[in-house]
Amino acid sequence: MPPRDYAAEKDKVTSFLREYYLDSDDGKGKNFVYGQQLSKLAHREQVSLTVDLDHVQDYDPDLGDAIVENTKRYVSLFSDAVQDLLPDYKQKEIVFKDTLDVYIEHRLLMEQKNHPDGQEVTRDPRNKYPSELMRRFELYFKAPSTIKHAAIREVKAESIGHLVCVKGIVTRATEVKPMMTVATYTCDTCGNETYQPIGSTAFMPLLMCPSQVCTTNRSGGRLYLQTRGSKFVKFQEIKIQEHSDQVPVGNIPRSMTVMCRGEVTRLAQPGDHISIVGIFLPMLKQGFRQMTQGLMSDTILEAHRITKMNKTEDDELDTEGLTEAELRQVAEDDFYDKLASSIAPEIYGHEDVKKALLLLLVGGVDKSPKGMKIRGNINICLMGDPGVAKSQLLSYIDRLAHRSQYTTGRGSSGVGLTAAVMKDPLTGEMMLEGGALVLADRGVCCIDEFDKMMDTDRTAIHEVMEQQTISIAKAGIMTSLNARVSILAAANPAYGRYNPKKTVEQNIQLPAALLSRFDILWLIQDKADRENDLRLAQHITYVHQHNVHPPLQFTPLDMKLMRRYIALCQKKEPTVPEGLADYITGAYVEMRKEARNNKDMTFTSPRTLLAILRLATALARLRLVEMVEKDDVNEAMRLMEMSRDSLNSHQDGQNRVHNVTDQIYAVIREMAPEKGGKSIKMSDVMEQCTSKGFKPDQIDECIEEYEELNVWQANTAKTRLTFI
Amino acid sequence: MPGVENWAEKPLNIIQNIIDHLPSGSNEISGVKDYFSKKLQGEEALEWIPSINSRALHQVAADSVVRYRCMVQDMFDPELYLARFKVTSRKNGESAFRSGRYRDVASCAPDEEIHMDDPGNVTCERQTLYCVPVPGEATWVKDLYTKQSRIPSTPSTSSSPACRKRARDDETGDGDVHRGSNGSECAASNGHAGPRGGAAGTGGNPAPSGIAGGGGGASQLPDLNFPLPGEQGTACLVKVYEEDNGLKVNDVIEVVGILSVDPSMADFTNDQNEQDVTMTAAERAAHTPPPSLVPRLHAVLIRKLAHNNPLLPHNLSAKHQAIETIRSEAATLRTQLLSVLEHALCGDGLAAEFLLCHLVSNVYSWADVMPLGKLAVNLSGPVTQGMAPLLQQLIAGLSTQSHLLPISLNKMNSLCLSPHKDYEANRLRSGQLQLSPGTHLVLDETALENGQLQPQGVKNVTALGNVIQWQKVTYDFNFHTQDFITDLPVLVLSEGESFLPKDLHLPLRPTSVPEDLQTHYAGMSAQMTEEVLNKLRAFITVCRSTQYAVNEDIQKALQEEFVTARKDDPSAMSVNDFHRLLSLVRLLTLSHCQAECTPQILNRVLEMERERRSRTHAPPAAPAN
Repeated sequence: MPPRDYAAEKDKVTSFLREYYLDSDDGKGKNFVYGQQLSKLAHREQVSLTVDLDHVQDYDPDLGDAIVENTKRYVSLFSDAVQDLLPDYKQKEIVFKDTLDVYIEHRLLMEQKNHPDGQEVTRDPRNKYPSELMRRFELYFKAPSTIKHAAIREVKAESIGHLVCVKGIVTRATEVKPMMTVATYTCDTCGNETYQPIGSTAFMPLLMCPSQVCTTNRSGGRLYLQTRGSKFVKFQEIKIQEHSDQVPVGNIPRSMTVMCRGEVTRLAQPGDHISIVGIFLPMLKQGFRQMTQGLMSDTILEAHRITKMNKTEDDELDTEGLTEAELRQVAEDDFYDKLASSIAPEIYGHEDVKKALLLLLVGGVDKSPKGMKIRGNINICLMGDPGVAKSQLLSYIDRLAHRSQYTTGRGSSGVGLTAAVMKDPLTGEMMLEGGALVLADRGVCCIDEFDKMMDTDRTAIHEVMEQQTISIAKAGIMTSLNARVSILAAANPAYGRYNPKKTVEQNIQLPAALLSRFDILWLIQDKADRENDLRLAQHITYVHQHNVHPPLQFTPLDMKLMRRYIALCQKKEPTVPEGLADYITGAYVEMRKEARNNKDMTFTSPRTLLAILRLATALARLRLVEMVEKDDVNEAMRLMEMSRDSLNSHQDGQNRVHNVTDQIYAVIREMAPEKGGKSIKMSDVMEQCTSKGFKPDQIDECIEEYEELNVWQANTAKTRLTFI
Repeated sequence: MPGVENWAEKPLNIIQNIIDHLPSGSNEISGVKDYFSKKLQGEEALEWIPSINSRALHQVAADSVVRYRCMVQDMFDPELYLARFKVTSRKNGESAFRSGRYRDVASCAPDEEIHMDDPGNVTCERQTLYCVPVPGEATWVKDLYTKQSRIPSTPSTSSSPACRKRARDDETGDGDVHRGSNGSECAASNGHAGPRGGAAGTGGNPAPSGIAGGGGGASQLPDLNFPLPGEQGTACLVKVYEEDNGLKVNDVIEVVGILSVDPSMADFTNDQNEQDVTMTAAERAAHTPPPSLVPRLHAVLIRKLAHNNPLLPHNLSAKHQAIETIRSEAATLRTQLLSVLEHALCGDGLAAEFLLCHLVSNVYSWADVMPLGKLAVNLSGPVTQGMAPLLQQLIAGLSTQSHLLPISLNKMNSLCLSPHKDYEANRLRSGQLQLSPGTHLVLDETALENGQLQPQGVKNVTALGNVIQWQKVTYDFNFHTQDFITDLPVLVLSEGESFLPKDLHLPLRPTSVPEDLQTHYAGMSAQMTEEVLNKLRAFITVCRSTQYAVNEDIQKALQEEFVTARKDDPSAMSVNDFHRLLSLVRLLTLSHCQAECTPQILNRVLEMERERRSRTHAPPAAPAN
C-alpha cells in the first residue's frame, strides 16, 4: 500500500468541514453542522469540536475508514485544518478569556512586527510557535454507529492506533490535574522564547538556548521554564474494568487505563458504567526503564468520548422488537400455558403458581386518580415447607426479570432491604446507598426468608408495598426514594412445617397488615403422591446419570424471547370497561359474603378487589390488548381462589372447634409486649378474652393446648403467662 | 544425556533458530511448541527438566528450560511486547531482525542498537498469569515429585561462576531427599510443616543486594499472595503466548517454560520524581516484583493436571501398569484403608465407610447450578474435640491436597475467606477458599465459642455455606461479585450437629475413647509404611477418577425406594435425601473401584443410611464404655 498523501488528505478534511451539511429538520435549507461550530470555535464560545464519523463516512467512506485505522494522525490533520479555517469564520472581535489568549495575541503581533515579510529566516525551526500552543480548541471523534461496543479483552494488539469503542465499569479515577502540552522557556542571555511540545507523560527539560543569536555567539544562554507562557490541559486518568457478563467463566475481569484530557475529564466516577470511544495507544516507557524493558510497553486508551450508561439502557440494546416468527411462536393458542410453563421448566407442576408469577412479571397498570396512587405491581408471597423449590422459583424469576434483585430477609450487607447512609470506600464521602428494594425500582425484588426480616426493614416494607416509596430520615438526610417494585417473597413456616390448623399470620408470624398487602399468598406443600414422587425420582436419577436435566415434553421458550415479550406486554395500558365493573363488584360482594359466612383462614378485604383488578389487567396485557375482558376477570378470580384453596385445603369439619382456640390465641398473642420479658398477667388475659366473648373454659383449653406446643408457659399459680 | 543439553539450557538460541527458519506467515508460536512437544514426548523426558517447585531459583540457570507445577491465582491484563525488532550493529552498520518472544529483556550485544520504531517491528500481546504453588499440597506429593526428578542434586551444568556458590545449598537438597524417604511419619505427624527446604530457601533469603539498593521501599518484601497463610514456595509470573488457552483461575497446571530472572526487571522507580502515570506504587509492587523473588516463566507448553498424584501417570484413562495393579488389589486396599479410617475414628466402622465415600468424592458434573457428586460430611460427637488437626494430617497423608480451617469466632470475624479484588494494587487478594479443585477442606467447628458474629463473620459463614451447598465461591470485585465454581470436599467436625449446611450428618459412636488422641493416632503410623501409604494414595486417586454408570435395574430400585419411603410420610425422604442417596450409591461403588453399581452395593448403602438415621434420630447417647 503506498503511503498516503497527507497533504491531499488535509485538503479533503478541509472541504469536508466546509461543505458537509445535513438537511434541516423542516426539510428546507441546509444545516452546515461543522460550519456553525467552526464559527463558534472562532469566537471562543465552544471549546471542543466533535466530528461524527458517521458524517465522514457519509461524505467520503474512504476517509472514514482511514480515520478509524490511524486516528492519531487524523486528529492532527483535522486540528490543522480547523486552525487554518478559523480566521475565515471569525466575524467579530473576540474578548480574551484568559492569559493564554492574551499571550497568543501578543505572540502573533510580535511575529508580524518582527517579520513583516512573513517568512522568518533567522530563527531555528524549533523556535517557531508550535501549532499546539496557538490552538484553543479540542477535537474529538465520535465513533461511527457501525462500530460495536467491544469488551476490553477483545481489544488486542492489532487494534493499536485504531479508534475503538469499549464499555466497562470505572474502578478508579484520579483527580484532575494540569498537564503541560507545550513548555515555554526564555533565555537569560538573548531573551528569546523557545517552545517544546510535549507528547508524553514525562519530558526532559531543555537547557541550552537554541536561538540563532546564542548559538552563533556561543554565549551559552540558559533556558528558564515559564509557567505562564506554557500551555496546560486538564488531565485525568481513569481505569475501567470489564462488565461481569463480558468475562468468560473462570476468568478474572480485565482492566484498561484510560487517559482523559481537556473536555473529556470529570465525566465519570468510580462505579459508573461507561462507554468510551478512544484511540488505543502503546505507551513507551521513559528513561532507564525503556532500556531495560524495551520489549514491553503499557497500553492506554486516549479517550475521545465518554458516555455514562445505566444498566437498563445497556440492556435495551438487545431488546429490539419481536420478529414476526417470534410473535407467532409466542402467540399460539395456548400461549398463556406455554409462557407459564416456560418459567422454571425444570420444576414440576405448580402450573398455577407459575401463572401467578408470570402475571407478576407483566404487572398490572398503575393508576393515579386525583393524586391518589394505586400501584399496579403485583406482590406474591410463596409459603411452604422447606425443600419445595420456593428458592428455585425465586432465583429463576430473578434471572428472568428484566431488572431484579435477589436478597434474603436478613440481607447480607449492612444496607439491608431499604437504604442506608454509608461511607464510600473510595472517596470517603457519606452517601445514600439503596438497598435491594431501591435497586429493584421498576423491577422485581425477590426476597427469600421473608419471615426473618429485620425489624427496621419490616416497618419500611409496609410503605413500599402500598405507596411504593421509601422515606428516609437518617444522618441528616431526609428523602423519599422510589421503590416501584413487585415483591416476590418466600417464607418458611414458623414451626418447621405449615400447620393448616392455624391462620396464615400464625404460621408465618407476620402481621396481617403486611400479609394483606400481598395480592396472592400461595402455600406450596410437599404432598406425598405416588405418581408425582415417581416422576420426581426419575427426574433426579436422570440428572445424576446424564449430568443434565432430562428433556421436557415441550420446548420451553427461550429466556431472552420471554424477556422481550414481557417488555412488549408492559407497553400496553389496558382499561376496565364500564360494563365489566358491575360484574367485578358483584363478584367481590359475593366473596365478602362467603368469607363472612365460613370464617376461613384468609381474609377478604378491599385489597382483594384491587388484587383481582391488577391480575385482570396483567392478563389483558399478556394478550396484548387494550381492554380487559370478562375472561380475564374470571381467570384472575380463579387464581385467587386457587391460592385460597392452597391455604385451606387441609381443613375439615373438625377444625371449626379449634377455631375458637385459635382466635383466643390470636387475642393473647396481640397482648404480648413487643420487647422485653414477653410475659403477661393471667388476669389481663382473662379480662381481654371474656370481653371478646369467649368462655373461661375455652380460654383455659387454649392456654393448655399452646402450653403443650411450647408456645408459652404458665407459672404454677397460674397468674402469669410467659412466651417462649 | 547428550543432545538434551542444547535445548534445555540454551532454548532461546534454538527458538531464534526455529523462528528464523519458519516460512514467513506461519504461526511462530505453534512452531516452537511443536519442536518442544516433540522433544518432550513421554513422561520420562519431562523428568529430566529441573522443576522450580523443588529447586531453589539460584540452582537453575537463567534462561534455561524449567518445569513448574502451580495453581493459577490471578490473571493480569495482557501486555504488549515486540515480537520482532530490528537491531543494528554500531560496528559495521549491519542490521537484523530478532525475535522478542519468550524473553523479557532484549538480547543484543553491547555494540548493537535496538530500533524501537522500525516499521518492520511486530507488536504482539501475551497474557500474564500469576501462579502460586498448589495450595495445601501434601508433603508427600512434593517429596515424590522431587524424587522422580532425574536431575542430580548437584548441577551438572556448572560452567558459570555463579554455580560454585551453590554448593552449600546442595547439601540441604540432599538432606531433603533423605527426609523424603521416611515420609510416612512426615506425612502423618508433620503434615502442616513447611514444604521442602529447598523451596523454602528462596523465601528465606529473598532480597539480593541488587534490589536492596533500589531504595527504601524495596526493603519491604512484596506480598506473594498465597491463598493459605504460612505457605512457602516460589510464586511465578507465567507468560502465556497462546491465545484462547482455556486456562481458568484455580486450575492446576504444569508449565514447561523458559526461566527469566534478569535482575534488570526489578522495579527501580522508587524515587518520586519519576512518576509513572499508569500505575500506583502498590500496583507496581504487585505486578513487577523483583524477579529473584517472583521469577518470570515464559511458557512453551502448558498442560492442565487432572490430578496431582505423582504415583500415577498424567492420563488416568489410558492403560497403565500402575493403574492396573491398583485395580486388581482394590478389595484388599479398601479393607486396609477402612481399618485405618476406623482406627482414626476411634473404632466407628460406619463413620469410616462414610469417610471413605467422602474421600473419593468429587464434583463430576454440574446440572445447571447444582453440583453433582459432592458429599459434605459432618461428623459430630464429643470425641471430635481435638480430632480435626490429626484427622487432617491423616487426610494430608492420603490425598494430594488438603487444608484445615478451624472455625473460631475470632477467625471468622477477622479473616476474609473469599478472594476479593484490590483495586489499589490491581490484583486479586487471595482468601483461604481460593483452592484448587479436589482440595479436602476440614472444618473444625469444635473451636467455636459463644459470641457475636460481625458482618465479616456473617460473610465468611455464608461463603462456607455456599462452598458446601453449591460448590461455588463468590469473589468480590467491589462493584459486583462473581461466582467461581469449585470442587472442595468438605468435612466438618463438630460437637453437636454443625450449623453449616451439610449433605450428611453422622454422630460418631466410638467403640472406645482413647486417653490421648495424639498417641492414638501415632499408634497408627507403625503399620503405615511408605509402601502401604503409596498404594492407598494411588487407590484414592484411581477411585476418584473411575467412570461410573448405573444400570436400569438399580435405577428402578432407587426410584422405588424413594416412592415407598414417601408413601406414609413425605418428610421421610425429601428431594435432598434422594440426591444424597444417589451420590452415596455412586461413591460407594467408586470406593470399590468399580464402574457399575451392583445390588449388593445398593443394599449396603440403604443399610448404612438406615443405621445413620437411627443414630441421628436417637438422642445423643453417651459413648460406649
